[in-house]
Amino acid sequence: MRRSRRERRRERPALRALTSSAMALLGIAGKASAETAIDHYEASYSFSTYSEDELESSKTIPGGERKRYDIKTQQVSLAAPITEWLDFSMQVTHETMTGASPWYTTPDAAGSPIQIMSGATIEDARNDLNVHANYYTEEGRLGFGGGYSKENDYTAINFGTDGELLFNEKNTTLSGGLGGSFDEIMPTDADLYPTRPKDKSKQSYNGFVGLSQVFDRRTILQGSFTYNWNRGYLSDPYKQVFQVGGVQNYGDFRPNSRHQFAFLYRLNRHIEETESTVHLSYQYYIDTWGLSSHTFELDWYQSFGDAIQISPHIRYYTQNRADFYVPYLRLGQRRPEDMSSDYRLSAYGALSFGLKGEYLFHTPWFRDIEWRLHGSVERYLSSGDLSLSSVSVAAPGLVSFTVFSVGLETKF
Amino acid sequence: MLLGHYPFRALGSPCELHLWGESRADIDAIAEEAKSLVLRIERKYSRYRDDSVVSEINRSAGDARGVRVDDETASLLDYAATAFEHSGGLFDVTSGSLRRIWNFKSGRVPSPVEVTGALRCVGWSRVRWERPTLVLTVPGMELDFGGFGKEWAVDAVAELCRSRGVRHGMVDLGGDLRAIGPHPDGRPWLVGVRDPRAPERALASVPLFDQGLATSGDYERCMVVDGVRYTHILDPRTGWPVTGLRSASVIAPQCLVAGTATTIALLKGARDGVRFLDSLGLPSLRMDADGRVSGTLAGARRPCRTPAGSRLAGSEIDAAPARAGRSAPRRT
Repeated sequence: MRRSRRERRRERPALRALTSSAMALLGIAGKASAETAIDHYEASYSFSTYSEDELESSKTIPGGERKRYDIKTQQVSLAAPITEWLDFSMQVTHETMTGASPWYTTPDAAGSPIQIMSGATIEDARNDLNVHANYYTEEGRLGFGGGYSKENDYTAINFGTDGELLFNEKNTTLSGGLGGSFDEIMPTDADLYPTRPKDKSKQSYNGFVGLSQVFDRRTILQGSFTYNWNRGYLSDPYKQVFQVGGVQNYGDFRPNSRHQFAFLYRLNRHIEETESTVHLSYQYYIDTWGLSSHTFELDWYQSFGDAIQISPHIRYYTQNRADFYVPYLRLGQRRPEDMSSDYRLSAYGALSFGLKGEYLFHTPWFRDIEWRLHGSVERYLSSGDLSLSSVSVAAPGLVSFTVFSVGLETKF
Repeated sequence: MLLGHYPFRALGSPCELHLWGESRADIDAIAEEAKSLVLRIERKYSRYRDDSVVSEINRSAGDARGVRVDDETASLLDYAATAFEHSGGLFDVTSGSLRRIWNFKSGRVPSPVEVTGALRCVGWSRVRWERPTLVLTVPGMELDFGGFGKEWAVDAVAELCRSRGVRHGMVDLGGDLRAIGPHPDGRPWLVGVRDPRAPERALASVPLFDQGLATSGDYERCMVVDGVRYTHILDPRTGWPVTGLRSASVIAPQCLVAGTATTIALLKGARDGVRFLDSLGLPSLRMDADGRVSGTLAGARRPCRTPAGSRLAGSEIDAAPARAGRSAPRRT
């Protein structure tokens, strides 16, 4: 019996798929290829520049400082297998920062807040070292790590442990971690500004649990919950609050405890037909400062053959304001216990989009070495108009920035 | 132009290269290179060698970190994934652990309990394959590239020869074939498809230009226990040898695709296997359990005894140009 035309059409793709897959395979068959090197060393270097847009002239006083932060980051990482079940990695970061940062906001003639930037150009450098070791077993992984970060007004030390447990024929992964960070803040020029403390500390303790489920070869669904508790000096010593008719600006006063909760859902789906992978995620965040946010993120990883991958990326973020956010205090307004004019605590929305590209190649004279050259550009825009919550007057300090980065990674 | 014949043994089968070239030295060198390619592939993908990539992969079974594989192996795995998908899960490279219990030299049929036990380690869906990392999630899982490694090697050798300037030749690895162009005078290679029940006889003679021909049959490795014939082609769903088709041969642009099609056809059984082959639109020949022959190649000339002393295990090849007047080859 002959099959219907439709049924025939349905199975022809089998031939097409097999043939094109065979062609891909034969494309490399004749070449000498390295015998598998499964345990390998990894080394990478990356350089990135983060530059904030200048403040719009309408958002500050005429002739005021408008330049904002520029950060250049260099990073070197190394990873090495120690034994069959143990590996070790480390990462060194060096950052240099220059520019000015938002100081406080005052009302303009119409009462709308405008941003005053810190007058002096800040020059700072940060060095950071992180180490991590993983121990693997049949059922999962256990990791330990620690880090130390130093800049001239800030020192932080952190350590933590994390792990994964695999079950349900390894289609389900339970992951979790615990960590702590102990920071010391020694603001510069504390003598010149009475609102700046001399030496303060803060601690944060965090934990997370996550569950990842493989549904089929192409679909993975992940969910995780993160809790973070910060205590100690959580204010920003470089920010102030202005009061109309006040003799002097107040400092930035935030509660000395903050509990943060984040719930993340992510779907990873591989689309074989087009050699692409889509990552879709949503995060809900809420904390005890009255701030909550939603983040939607879409990443599209598109491969072109074995060597090239281009990944566009889009992210939308919206938050409401913290309970104690004030652009400035009105004339005669009673000084609240907690207050901050930090634009990061105001209600706003942000949109960022970017493009990443990577190119994979082997050195022709020694094919065991694999190289990955990657570069990316990201543009971030934030404004009150993008927020889902109602914003009567947007913080004037809301930032927009551009990040460029390039890097080279090798496995051998 | 002269024609050189290069018999050798690899991949557990007798192999032979037939290459046309301008000088003996040229084709000798190319044949030597081709042989070492086959031996490299064998070394790399043999289940029987401890130092092979396949053994290394199999040793990693149950390790959630998996193994990172090289580009060539990755492309083979991509191919295996495609074949799995387009065969409704029948073409499955994870059938390897079934080979542990089905030893066709032993003459012993495993017990249903053993089969069920081995099946726990079978299933491409239990593999996490995210190029270049492969995770065999179940301890004891084993990959077996035997189902397509030889056919792939045939194409790889043909591509190598072509890249070295060979325009006319024939690659035969254990009966899986790939023609490189026709004979220099333009006439096709004539290839015999053997009769599964009388391997020394040819079932049909098939002209090949620039194509691959692969045959799967229940005669290749099998055992007969209490009058029942158990073939080496194992159904990944049941763990038992397939029944239904005695053999299937397919012509496709690549030997690899032809071999995959025949394997899937045998796995699908008599009725669905034949339908599957028809649906592919590739020239094929199949013999069912009752010895009935069908397919577009069944009308091909049906002569031939294998010439005495032929070293070809699978199909026979007439190395001499076919005489004019023979039926025109079918191009796919």
